[in-house]
Amino acid sequence: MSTPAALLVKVELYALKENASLMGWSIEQIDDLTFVLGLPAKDGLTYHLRVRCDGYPATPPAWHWFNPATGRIDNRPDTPRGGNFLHGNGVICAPWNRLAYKTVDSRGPHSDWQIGAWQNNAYTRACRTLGAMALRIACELMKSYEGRLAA
Amino acid sequence: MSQDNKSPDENSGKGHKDDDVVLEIATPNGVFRGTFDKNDKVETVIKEVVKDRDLAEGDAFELHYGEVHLEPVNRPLVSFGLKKGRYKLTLVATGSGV
Repeated sequence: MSTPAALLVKVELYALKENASLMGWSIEQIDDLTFVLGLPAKDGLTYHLRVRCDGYPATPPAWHWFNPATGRIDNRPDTPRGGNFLHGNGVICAPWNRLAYKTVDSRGPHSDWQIGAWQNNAYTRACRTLGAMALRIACELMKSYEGRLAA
Repeated sequence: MSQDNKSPDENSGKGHKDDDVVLEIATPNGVFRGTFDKNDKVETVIKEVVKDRDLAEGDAFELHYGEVHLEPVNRPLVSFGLKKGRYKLTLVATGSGV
C-alpha cells in the first residue's frame, strides 16, 4: 500500500518529468520515494541529485548531490558551489532541503530553522513542490554557479 | 495571447503572425505552451502562465531564458531578443540562498 508521501511524490513527479522532457534534463525514479535528477550548469557540466522524499511533505526532501557512476552521494567533487544557495558546506541552503538543517546533517548551515515548519519558513516562498524546487536549483546552476566544490 | 497547451508542432502553419512568439515554459506545475505577441510584456506572460497552470496568484515568480532573467517585467518580450520563433523558458519561484 502506498504511503501518503509516495502518493504525493507520484503526483508531483508527473510535472517534474514533463519539465525534464522539455528542458532536456535526465530523471530516473528509483523507488516510490527516491529519484535522480540531472541538471546542466552554465559551464556545460551536468550535476546529479539523488532526492529522498520519505516523510514528505511533513519534512522536506533530502537533495543529495550524487555521482551516478560511483553511486556516491555528498562527494565534494560531484558538488557545485556558488553563492549562499550552492553552499560551501556542500548542501543546498534552502528551508525546503532537509540537509540544510544542522539537526539532520552536520553540514547544514541552519540551526535556527524548524524542519517541521519548512513550508511556513519565509525563505521557502513558493518552493513548496518538487517541481518548484527543481526549477530553483536549475536556475541557480545557471546564475550563481562558480564551479565544482573540489577538484 | 493564445494559450495552446499542446505540442507546438500541432500549432505550426495555423496562421501565426510575424509578431508571434511561441513559448514553452517549464513551471512548477508542468509545461505551459502558448503564443504571445512579441510586444507583450513579461509580466503579462507570467500572469497568464500562473493562471493557466493553476499556480497561486499570491506567489512571486521569475521568468528565465537560459541564463537571462527577464527583468524588469514591464519590458516587452522583444526587448530580450524574443521575437518571431519558438523558445523554451522556465518559470521559477523567487528566492535564493539564505
